[in-house]
Amino acid sequence: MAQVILKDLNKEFDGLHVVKDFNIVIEDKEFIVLVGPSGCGKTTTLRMIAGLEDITSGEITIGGRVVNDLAPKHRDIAMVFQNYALYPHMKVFENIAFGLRMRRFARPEIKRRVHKAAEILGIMDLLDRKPRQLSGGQRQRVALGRALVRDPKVFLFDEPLSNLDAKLRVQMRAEIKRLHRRLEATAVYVTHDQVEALTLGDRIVVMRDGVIQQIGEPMSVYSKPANKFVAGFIGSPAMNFADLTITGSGDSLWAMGPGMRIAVPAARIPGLRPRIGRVVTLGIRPEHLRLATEAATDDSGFDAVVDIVEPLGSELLVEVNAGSVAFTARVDPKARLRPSQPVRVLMDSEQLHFFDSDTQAAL
Amino acid sequence: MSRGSRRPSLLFWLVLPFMAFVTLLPYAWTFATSFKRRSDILSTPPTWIKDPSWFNYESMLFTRGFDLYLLNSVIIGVSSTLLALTVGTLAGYAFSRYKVPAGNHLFFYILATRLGPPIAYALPMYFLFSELGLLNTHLGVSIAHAAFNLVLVVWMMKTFFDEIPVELEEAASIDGCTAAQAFWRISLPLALPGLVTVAMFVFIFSWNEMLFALMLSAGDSNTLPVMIPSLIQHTGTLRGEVAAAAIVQTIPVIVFTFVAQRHLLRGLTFGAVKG
Repeated sequence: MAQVILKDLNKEFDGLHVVKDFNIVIEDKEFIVLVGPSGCGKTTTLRMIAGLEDITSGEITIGGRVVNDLAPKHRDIAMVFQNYALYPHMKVFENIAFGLRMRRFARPEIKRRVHKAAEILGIMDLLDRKPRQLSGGQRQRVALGRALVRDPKVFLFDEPLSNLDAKLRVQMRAEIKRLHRRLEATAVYVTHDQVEALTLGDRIVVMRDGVIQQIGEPMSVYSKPANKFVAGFIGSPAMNFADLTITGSGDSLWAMGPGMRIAVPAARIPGLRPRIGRVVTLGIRPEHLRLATEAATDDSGFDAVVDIVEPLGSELLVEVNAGSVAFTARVDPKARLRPSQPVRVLMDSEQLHFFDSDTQAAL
Repeated sequence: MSRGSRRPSLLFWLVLPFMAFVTLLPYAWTFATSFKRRSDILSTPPTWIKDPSWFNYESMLFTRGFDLYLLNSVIIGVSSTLLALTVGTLAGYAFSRYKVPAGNHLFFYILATRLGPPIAYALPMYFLFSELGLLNTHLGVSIAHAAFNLVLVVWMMKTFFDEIPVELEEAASIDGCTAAQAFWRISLPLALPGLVTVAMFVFIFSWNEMLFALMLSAGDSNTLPVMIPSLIQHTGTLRGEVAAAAIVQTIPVIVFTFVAQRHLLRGLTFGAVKG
């Protein structure tokens, strides 16, 4: 197993700069998830680690060895592709064994390893089938088997679950996590799905337009997003935003907007005082909003009207309108709310986020 | 897409038997002639085979020396097919997978070998082969046929390779293959239905080709189609032998078409619908 270091990594395609100054040290046995919208450079970064894509500049080190100029087969990595990339003309056994055959493993050893991998993945009874006779989930398992049979230093996953239906995706997600714990291998996983990122990663790397936005543990990225993009991308439903003006004097500050007057919590006052008279972006997650139906006077609240109510069983998503802003709140499913009903939106002031409205960086 | 459930129309039943009749009657007549005795061939009124005999085949093959020409046809057909497939498959693969300098122009340019009348290429080829000492050799005719067929192989193989996801080769390269191994072990086996289809086209072209074979070979290296006209002699036409040679000439074509019909269809529609 191995540490993976990406240093000042850059990639340009025909003058298009798709990965910019990418730096990260991936620790041994760590599970890193690269997440971002499509076109953010996450797959390109993964392919550079795999050696499927040339590096424009920078350095990739795997297990203490610079691999910039090494062919993929010499990097001791395994990759699981989005479309599985199983060899259609080979049976499942041959698919899994192929990498071992190419590395001239002895026949009994190949058999032993393939059977072990098949047992771990529960595909023993599929070994004699061709890929086209398998379901999506089974193909995915074979693709995983092909990767883990070689016992590589690093596992690379390129959106491996995105071709599966929702239920299977959740199941395979848990399986990959279990597998990683069992194999204790370094893993780099690419996805555009923030739920996968949060659930799988030891650390996640949020990317946008080829630039790393934030690296951190899932919960810290969730609770302390580095900028407005990360705040909006991680978490579902997305964080609510409103552009408000900071006003006030002395000991109390207010974030003001049309129909809104929100007290800035004491802890944030020193940071926001220099911005008096300027516009900042306020952000708050749906679960940190409460909806009160009886008249309440709370400093960190505003009046709104219920627009849409979406029951999800375990919770209720309520979209409310206040002036020109729409907020989504995640509330108790037993709450009795109807469209057009006036409510008072209460905010958990400890959970307010403020972002610079120009640079979008967290304040 | 299944159109099997549609019932053939009346037009179909009117036109098809007519077409089949027009197409098959001459062949059937030639077939019958090849088994007739000389006296029956031009008898009035015409007769079908009264007393079938292998005489025409024996005469053609052994008295007239056509066994040699048949062998030449096989040798040239097989070797030109192998040559065209080897070069064309690799070229098609390169056009499909790599950035070939001036790729699009080059890809179109190789069509030029098929844009002009064959005779326009045959003459320069004659002088070229004469300088190289390739006239009257199996190799010469094989090269000519392969060169003429190359464009078909390159164009068809490129489309077959285009249909094979590049991820398969990437997976192979991670599994430990060099580029050549990935081609040989993954892409080529997957392109096999296409390859078989193309091979048949190429072989049949060479098997039936007359112009290049006539110009570039003589005597002992002549192929069957070139020699059939030699049976029309100033003392008369050896109709029975001509018919026998023509039937022999068509056997591989018919066998190929029937045996490989399914392959052929699969190859021609390869990639039309993703499997």
